[in-house]
Amino acid sequence: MTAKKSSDRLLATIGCLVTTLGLLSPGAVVAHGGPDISELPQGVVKASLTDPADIRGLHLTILDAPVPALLLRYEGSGTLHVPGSDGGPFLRFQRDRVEAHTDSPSWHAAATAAGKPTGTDRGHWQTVSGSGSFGWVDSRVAEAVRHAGADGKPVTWRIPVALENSSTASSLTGSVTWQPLPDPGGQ
Amino acid sequence: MNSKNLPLIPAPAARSRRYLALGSALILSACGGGSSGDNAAGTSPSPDSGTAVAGDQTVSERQAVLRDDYSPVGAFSAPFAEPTIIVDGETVTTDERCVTNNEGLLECKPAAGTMALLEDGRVLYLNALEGTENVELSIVGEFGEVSINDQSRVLALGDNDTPSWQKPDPLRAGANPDGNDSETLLNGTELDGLLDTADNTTRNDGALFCSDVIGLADGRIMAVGGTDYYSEPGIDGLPLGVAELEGIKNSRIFDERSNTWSQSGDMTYGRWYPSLVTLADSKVFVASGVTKLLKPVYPEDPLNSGRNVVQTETYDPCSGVWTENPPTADRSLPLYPRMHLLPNGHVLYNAGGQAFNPFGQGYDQALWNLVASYNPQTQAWTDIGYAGLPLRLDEAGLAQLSSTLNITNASMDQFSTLLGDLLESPTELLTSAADTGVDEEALKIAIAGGMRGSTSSTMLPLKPNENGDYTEVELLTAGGVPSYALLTNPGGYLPVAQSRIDRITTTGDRIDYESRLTGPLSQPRWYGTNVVMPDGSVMVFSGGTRDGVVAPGLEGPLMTAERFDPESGTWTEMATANRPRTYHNTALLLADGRVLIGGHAPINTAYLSHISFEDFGLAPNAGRDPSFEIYTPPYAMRNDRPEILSAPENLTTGQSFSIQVDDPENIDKVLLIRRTVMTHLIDGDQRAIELPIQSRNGRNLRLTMPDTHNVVPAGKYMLFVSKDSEEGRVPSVSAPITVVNTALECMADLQLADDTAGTDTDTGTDGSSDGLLGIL
Repeated sequence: MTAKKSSDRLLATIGCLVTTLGLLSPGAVVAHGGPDISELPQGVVKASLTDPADIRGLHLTILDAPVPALLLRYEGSGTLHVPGSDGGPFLRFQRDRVEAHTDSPSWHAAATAAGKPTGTDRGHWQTVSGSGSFGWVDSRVAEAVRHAGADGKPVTWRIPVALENSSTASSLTGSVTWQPLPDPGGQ
Repeated sequence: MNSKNLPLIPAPAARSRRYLALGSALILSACGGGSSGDNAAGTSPSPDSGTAVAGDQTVSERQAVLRDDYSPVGAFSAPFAEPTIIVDGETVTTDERCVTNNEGLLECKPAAGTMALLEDGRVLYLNALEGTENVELSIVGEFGEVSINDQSRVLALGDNDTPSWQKPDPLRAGANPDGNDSETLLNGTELDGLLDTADNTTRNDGALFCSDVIGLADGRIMAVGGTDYYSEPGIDGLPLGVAELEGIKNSRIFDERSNTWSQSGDMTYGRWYPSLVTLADSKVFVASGVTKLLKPVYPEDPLNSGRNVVQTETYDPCSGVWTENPPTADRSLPLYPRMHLLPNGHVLYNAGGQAFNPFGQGYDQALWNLVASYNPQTQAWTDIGYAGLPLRLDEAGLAQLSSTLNITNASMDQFSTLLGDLLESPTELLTSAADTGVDEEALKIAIAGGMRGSTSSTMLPLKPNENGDYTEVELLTAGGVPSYALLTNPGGYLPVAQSRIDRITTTGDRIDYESRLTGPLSQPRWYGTNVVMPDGSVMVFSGGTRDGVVAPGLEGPLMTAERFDPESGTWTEMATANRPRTYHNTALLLADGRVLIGGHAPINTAYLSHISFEDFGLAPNAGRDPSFEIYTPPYAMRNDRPEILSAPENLTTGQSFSIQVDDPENIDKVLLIRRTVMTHLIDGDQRAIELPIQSRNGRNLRLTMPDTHNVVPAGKYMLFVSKDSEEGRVPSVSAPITVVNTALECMADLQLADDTAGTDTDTGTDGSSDGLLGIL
C-alpha cells in the first residue's frame, strides 16, 4: 500500500474515523464484515401492504430488508403516475418502460439511495427501466421505518398513484412494524 | 527448521498417495485410458485403451458394460496434495500442510480457492487467505500484518492420474510490487504517527484472494481485483489494530504456454469480490465488488461510502484497457453477484451473491432482491422482477410445498387447485395462504424468493427451439441462504434445502421470467459448488450446514455430493468425499467427464486463531486444505462410453461441421461445455450448449453451431457426445474446441475448420476425414 497523501481532508477524515471506531466493536468487525452471531439485532422492521390501489395491471411487491423497498409492475394500458413526496412528477410507468423525472426530489433521494444516476439534465423524463417493472427505496416508506419503535405499533405509509387522463385518485397504503427476533439460542 | 504437525488434520498425504495409485488405476480402467482426458489441440481425445475404433467392436465385446467397481453413486479418489513446501529457500518434502520456518512462522501449501481448467488439461489454482495460519490471537487485529499475497500453482494429472505441480512466474502473480494506491483514511492526516494506517509490509498489497477469474477468448486466464491488506488504525510492526481488506484495481493474466503471469490494465475502481462476464463481443464486463470491505468510507466520494462499487466497467481483451461505463450502467449489487450472459446479449443478475451484512448496513440492500438485466448496447439496466416470482406451481412444486409446510389433506386439495397456475405476486401468495389455511410467513419461507446468498446460480444446458434458435435459459438455484428479512429467525445463518429453477425467455430485448420449485436437496447446504455434468445433470459438491462467514468454524461439513436430474426435477445423494471442504471450496469438470474438487480455506474460527471443533462434528478450521479429490461419476465407471474419433479444433458461430464418432446410431446428444474458470461458487461464463444433430452419414454426425456469440461466447470449450442407457445417459470423453470470434481483431488469425455450412465434406464409413482441420 502506498497511501494517498491528502492533508486537506483532515476534518472529513476525523469524522469518518469517529464513525469507524464506533463500528469497531470486536463482534461487529470481523474478517468479512458480518456480525458475530452474538451481535444480532433485537428485531427487524417488516413492511406490509394494507391497501393496494385498485388499478388494473398494477402489482406492488414489498422488498423486505432493513430498509424495505417497493417493486411496482404495471401491465395496464396507458401511463401510471407515481407522484413524489412533494406532489410533483416522480415516476411514470408504461407496460414496457419506466421513467423518472429528473427534477423530482423523491427521484434524487431514491437514486442516491440505490447508487443510480440522477441525470444531469433537468426538467425531463429519463428511462430507468426497459420493462414495466421498477424497484426503488421510497422516502415515504423509509420515513415510516424511522418512526417504527420497539412498541410494535404499526406506522402507516401512503403513496398516491394515478392513471394519466383519469380523475380517479388512488393510493398504495401500507405500514411498517418493528418485530422482535426470536432468541438465536432457540434455533 | 522444525516441522510442525498441525493437530487438526488426519495425516493424509502419504496415505493419500498410496490410495491415489490404486484409485488412479481403477479410474483409468473405467475411462478406458490414462489420458488426463484433455489432450493438446489436434490430437485424438480417444483413450489409450488400445481400442482403435470402438465402432469396430462386436456386441459381445461390449457385453461387460459396467466395470467391476461400478457404483450408481460414483466414487471419490483418495485425496492428494502437493508434496513439497519451500521453507527458508529449501524445498521440503512433507506430508504435513505446513512447516515452521526459521522465523517461527508457518509456511503452508496453497489450497485451491480458485480453479481454472486450461486448454492443455492442466488446472491453474490460486490460494486463499494465505498467511492467516500465523494469526496468534485475533484475525481482526492481525489480518493486516500477517496476510501474504496468495501463491498460484498449476496441477497436471499425467499418466495414471499421477499429479505434478508447476510454479507460475511470478508465483504470486506480481501485482503492485511497489505497493497499492490505497484508499486509506488516516495517512496524510495529523493523526499520522503511532496510531495510523499500519502497513509496513509489501508482502500483501496485491493478493489474488477475492479476485474474480475469467477465461479470455484466447484461453488465457484473467484475475481481476483482489486484496490489499493493512490495519486501520494500527501500529506498524505490531499485530494490533483493525484489519482492512481493500479491493484492488489490478487485472493480471496467466498464459499457460509460458506459465507466466503478466499485468494488464487497471480498473478505475478497486474491487474485492467483483463478478465478471464475457460479453458477446468478447469484451469482459465487471460489476460490484467493494473497495473497502470493513470500513467502506471514502472521504473523497461520500455518495459511494457505505456501499459496494455501483459503477461497472468493460475490458477490451485486445487493447488490455478497462473503460468505465456511463452512469446508466451503474447498479448496486451484492458481492460476487450471480450474473449470466443471455441469448439476447443482455447480462442477467439473478438475485444471488454474497451479503456479509445480513441485518443490514446496506441502505439499498432491498433492491438486491430484484432480478435485472444489463443491455450492453444501451448500457442501461432493466428491472425484471422479484426473484422467485411469478411462481408456476407444477407437481414438483406442490410436492415441495406440501412437505415443507405441513399441509393438511384438505388444504392440499385446495393447493392442488392451483396446479399449473402462475402466482404473480406476493399478494396472490398471501391470498393463496389465506385460502388454504397456511401461515403467510411459512409460505414465504417455503417459496424462499428474493436474493439467495452463498450458493450457485447454475445455467442448465441451453437447448435450441424448433427453429434452431436459443431463446430460453433455465437457472438452477439450490440451497444457500435466502433473503434474510423474509425469515423470522436470525437470517443469514441457516441455509435451506429449497431448490428452484428460474426460466428466462428472450424475445429481442424483451425478457420474460418465471420460476418453479423442484424437489429439494436432501438437506440444507451452505456454499455448495455446482458442476454441470456432460450427461446434462447438475452435481453439487462440498459446503456446510451453516454459514461459515457469520460464524466461522461452527459449520458442519457436507461431504456427500448430490445430483440433480433435470428430467425428474429431483436431487439424489451420491458418493461421499473424504475431506471437509466448506468455505472457499472449488470444483470443476475435467475433460474426461470426471470432476476435480479442491479448496477449503475457512476463516479462522470465530475470527480468532485457527481452532478446530472437528471433534464435535464441525468443519476443521485448522487452516487451508491443499488437497484435491477426483470424483468419478457412474457413467465413467463403464466400458461402453461413446468416443469422439475426430472433431475440428476451431469453430465459430453459425458454422456447420462434422465430427466422427464410434457409435453414431446410438449417440443422440452433443453438448458443448465451456471450460470452468471459477472461484467462490461463481463462473460467470458457465454454460453448456446442446448442439442439434442435423444429419448422420456413416460415423459422421453433422452439427451446427449457434448463430450468435450471445449463446456461445468465444473461448475454450469441450465437446461431449452421449447416448442413453438403462442406467442413464452415458457421455464420452470430450474433444477440445476453441470458439473463435472472427470479429475480434486479436483473435482473427485462428484458422477455422473449412467444413462449413453448405459444403458437406462428410466422408463415408472408411474413417477418412477430408475437410476437417481437426484431429485423428
